[in-house]
Amino acid sequence: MFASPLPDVTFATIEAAIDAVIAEIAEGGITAAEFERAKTRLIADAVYAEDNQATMARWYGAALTSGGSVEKVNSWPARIRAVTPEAVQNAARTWLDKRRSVTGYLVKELPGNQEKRS
Amino acid sequence: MSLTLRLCLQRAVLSALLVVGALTAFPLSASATKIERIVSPGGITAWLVQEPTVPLIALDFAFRGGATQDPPEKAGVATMAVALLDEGAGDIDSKSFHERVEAKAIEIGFTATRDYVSGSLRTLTENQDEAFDLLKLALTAPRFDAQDVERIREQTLSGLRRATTSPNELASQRWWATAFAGHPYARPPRGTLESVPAITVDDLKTFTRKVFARDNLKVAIVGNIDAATAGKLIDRVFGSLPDKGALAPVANASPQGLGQRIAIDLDVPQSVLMIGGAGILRKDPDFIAAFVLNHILGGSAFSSRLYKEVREVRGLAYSVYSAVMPLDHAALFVTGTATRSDRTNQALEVMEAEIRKLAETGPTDEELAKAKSFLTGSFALRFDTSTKIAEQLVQIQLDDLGIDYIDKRNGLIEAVTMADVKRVARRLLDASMLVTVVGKPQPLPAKGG
Repeated sequence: MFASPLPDVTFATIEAAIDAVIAEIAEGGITAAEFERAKTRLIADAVYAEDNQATMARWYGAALTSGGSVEKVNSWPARIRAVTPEAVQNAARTWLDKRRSVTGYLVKELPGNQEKRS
Repeated sequence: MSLTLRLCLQRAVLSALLVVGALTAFPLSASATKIERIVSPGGITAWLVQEPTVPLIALDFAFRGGATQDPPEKAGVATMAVALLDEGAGDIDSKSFHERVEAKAIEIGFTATRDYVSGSLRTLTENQDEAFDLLKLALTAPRFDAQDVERIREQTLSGLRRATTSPNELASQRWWATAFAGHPYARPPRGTLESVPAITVDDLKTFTRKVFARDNLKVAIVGNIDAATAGKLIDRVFGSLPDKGALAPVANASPQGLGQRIAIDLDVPQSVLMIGGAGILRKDPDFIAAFVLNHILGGSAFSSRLYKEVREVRGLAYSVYSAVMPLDHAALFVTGTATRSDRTNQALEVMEAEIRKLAETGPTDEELAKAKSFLTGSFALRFDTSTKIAEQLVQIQLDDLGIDYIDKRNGLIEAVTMADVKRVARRLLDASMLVTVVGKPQPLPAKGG
């Protein structure tokens, strides 16, 4: 995740806002509209990829060089279709845990009162 | 094997990969790309390629009359109008329009160039109705709501402000302004910092009314769709447009200021050079020979004469290009590079010497053979997605090359002889050019000095 704050917004504010969005998904789940939109886009990407030889080569190549398989690529749309809203919420709970995260700030110079984080 | 068939074989093989384990072998004959000329029930002509292997539809279209139709003091109207077409249309405001497009993974895009407004649509077959309805609204009922107009205006101005410190932009703007002084081609299609603030909603509406008409329109549709459905969808989008547009006539023009060298001071470490002169129109019988010649001079990225002499031998630049640029109302030949400021004059001399040399002696037999082999061999790569096929089919219609052009094209390249290339080299390269340089170059030597 990344964010580029407006000139008068601090990193702390924007980070808190991002954390709140993640917490909302973990606690309350996602809306039906959000869920459908994400699935449609991911499945459409797979169909659009079938129409592009270079993209297909990249998909298969990336899968095969990182422990995947042809079957995994081919079953991608079906696996996306099978995802439930609950599974998305569980994933947010399990994987978007703040304790597992690392945050970096890109700043011109650190203001004196701001904690230096790595 | 014809080019189109070869293309289809590639597509079929790759599609077959996706259905590993499927029981039926893919019938090759069924996939042969055939371009059909269809006429919709409403009387709109379109070129169609049925491609049943992937459940999507790609539509491409163009209206003649792009930025040349901007009012003289209002450069940027075409660009701003097309940027606003999908920012709300009919009853749907900008935010909802974007949401509806996104919800169905529909892709709609518009661009304005000097000569055309073009547009494209890509959708899954299952969402075709929503996609074509939204496109129809964008083309026929754009809202141009005040807040969206101001947002797009500010985006445009911010881009134009950035351009004031871009050597590439400045070199190009000054080149066009000089070469086409007094002609619509002189105006930057994106507009200027003076013209864009003056554009009104009325200007935008007038532009779409004058340009979006059926007699200016070329359409191509590619994908999992039959002729009858394609005809209906085309009517749904374009059927309610007026029969005739109201394009302001644009005079044919030749580039002016040839022989001049113009320097523009800008505090950047690298100078940008643009060199251009008269080219060859697309319908000129020598166009294909000029295209081959240009590949030898500077069209090829890594083996052209300019690349060898400017980059490999002398290390003056990372890239150097040349191009034949046929417009609707003028023909251009342009070349350029970017180089260290204290080497600008040397780069210019080398480029002019190479151009002169090719004009006087022509290419070698080997150069000609390699260029023809590259250009014929790489042609298929223009057609490797449905979107690109649709785009090419619209371009072929705009250029009026005929529905059989794709099958004929490589034969035309093969037929180019050494005599053709030498004739066109004298015609294209043995002439004076207009040069613009932006950066901190040393004083430019006078022409011939």
